[in-house]
Amino acid sequence: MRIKNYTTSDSLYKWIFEYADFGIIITDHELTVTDVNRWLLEQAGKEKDSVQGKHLLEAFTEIKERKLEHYLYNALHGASTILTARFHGYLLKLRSEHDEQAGIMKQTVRITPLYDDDLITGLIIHIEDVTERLIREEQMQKQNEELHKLNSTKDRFFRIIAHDLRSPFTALLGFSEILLNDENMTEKQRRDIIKMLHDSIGDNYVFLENLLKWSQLQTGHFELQFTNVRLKEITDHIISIATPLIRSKEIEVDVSGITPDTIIYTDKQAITSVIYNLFFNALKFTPAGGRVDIRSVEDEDATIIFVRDNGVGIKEEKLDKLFRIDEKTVSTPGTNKERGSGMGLLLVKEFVDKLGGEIWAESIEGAGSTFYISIPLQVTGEKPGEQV
Amino acid sequence: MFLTEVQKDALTELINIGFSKSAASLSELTGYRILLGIPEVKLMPIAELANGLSHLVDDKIITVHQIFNGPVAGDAMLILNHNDSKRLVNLMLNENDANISDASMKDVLSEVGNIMLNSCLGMFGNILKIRITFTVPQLQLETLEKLIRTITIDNVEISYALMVSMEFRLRDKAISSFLILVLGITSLEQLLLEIEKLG
Repeated sequence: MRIKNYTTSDSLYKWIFEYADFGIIITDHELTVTDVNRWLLEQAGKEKDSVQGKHLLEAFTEIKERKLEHYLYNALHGASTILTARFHGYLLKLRSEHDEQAGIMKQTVRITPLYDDDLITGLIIHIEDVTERLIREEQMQKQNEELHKLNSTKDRFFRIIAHDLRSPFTALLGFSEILLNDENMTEKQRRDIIKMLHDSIGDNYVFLENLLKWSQLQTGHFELQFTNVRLKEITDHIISIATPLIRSKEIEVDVSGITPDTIIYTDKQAITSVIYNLFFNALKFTPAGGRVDIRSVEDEDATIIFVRDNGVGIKEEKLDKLFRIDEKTVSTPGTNKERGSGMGLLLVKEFVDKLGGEIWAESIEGAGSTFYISIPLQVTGEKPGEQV
Repeated sequence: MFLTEVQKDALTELINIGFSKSAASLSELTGYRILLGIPEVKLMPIAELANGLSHLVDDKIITVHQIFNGPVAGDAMLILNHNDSKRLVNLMLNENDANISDASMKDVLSEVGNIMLNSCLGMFGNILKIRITFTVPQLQLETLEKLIRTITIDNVEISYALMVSMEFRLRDKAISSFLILVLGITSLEQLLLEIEKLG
């Protein structure tokens, strides 16, 4: 079906021009605008005089600026064209009726030649506002991404539960059964088993603590309270907890890089969990006689804290996946077969995100790893107080 | 009426040239490298089109339809299986189909079909040194049977279908599509005559 020229006296033509909720521009064969409807003028914020009688590319300079004029010339040679918002965004700079925040209206444009018998006498350009549709699609995309993330979180949660919550009970049941039933055990053997039971219960306690904090984060029940925190107090506290492990593995720990005047504005509980997990991970993957450092440096807008070890290191391909929620691998046993859950790094990443910081790692397999976290110097407009 | 081997080879080559241009346009639009396989050309009476296509497409198809006019006139259609059309749009936009509304999917397919059909028809126009004009693309979701009924209902002249099978390749995925040109015998004879002159 070909579109014929309507005369201006045609009532249908007049009706469309007055009431249509889409844009229409009609040009002659030289692209001079012969008519433009009210809707389009309103959205363009232009008067009819500034468009009608003008060359289309002069009335709407954005067409040429965006190199879309060849579609018009193709149509003048008979090639009707559709330009979709997904590929081109828009043809004309029009305001969107649907969302003032959306800026320029997203458009689906149809450019069709006008005929008088077989002669092309001009173009009719039809512009449809698809901004609202695209906003809805964008929202849908965000929701889908959110759902995907939640689903991955759920999968990981169940994977961790299945792998790490169940298996230690097998060991606990086994050890306790030996204690109960083996009457010929020596005192030394009994103490060794009790030590293993104690270590296993300790590991599980840490795991459950992390699991609890992580689930509180997921359900929004963990509220961050930003205060000025003295970093050394936190590292001293963590080292005191870790002392038995440090001694048993004879690991040299150096925290001289943390001075008493290093103060960060953050949530104390969250940052303690972060450093605790990174430090215990470093101890876990450092063989007896190794070394672990905790240091901090300040750059322009953040305090960077890093935990460095000279342990077993991490393979490059695994390094990229360490903090990904959808990563399916489970934790690697430590140098003394210490067990872990994969929960620690997951929690660390969540906390660092919530604190407005970043986390990254460097590692050389066989030579050691360094985990960095950056904590913004100030995440709110408040001035650091004296609550240190 | 049938295509000689020479005519078939010439048509295949010409359509391939036209589609190479459209692949470049599509790559520019999407930012992805888009490859189109070598087209396979068949000529059949319109009455046999349903049979010719039935084992290649599903019952549910998407058609981008443009009517072309001029000394050579007819219907041009890009046909995709419904599921393939979704995959094609997702690959081109790098999105999950759950995020794209039917309206946006129709728009994108219309523009893709428009580029493909325009390149093919434009190339015929250049060869024949005639101006072929075509309408704005219409996207239809219908059965094969209904589609064929639509394009044959007003035809008084004996019509033939030039069926071109081809494959899109983008982001390591292949998607089959079919381009159908329905031509009256007069237009077809003129097209084949001009093509023979090229040789």
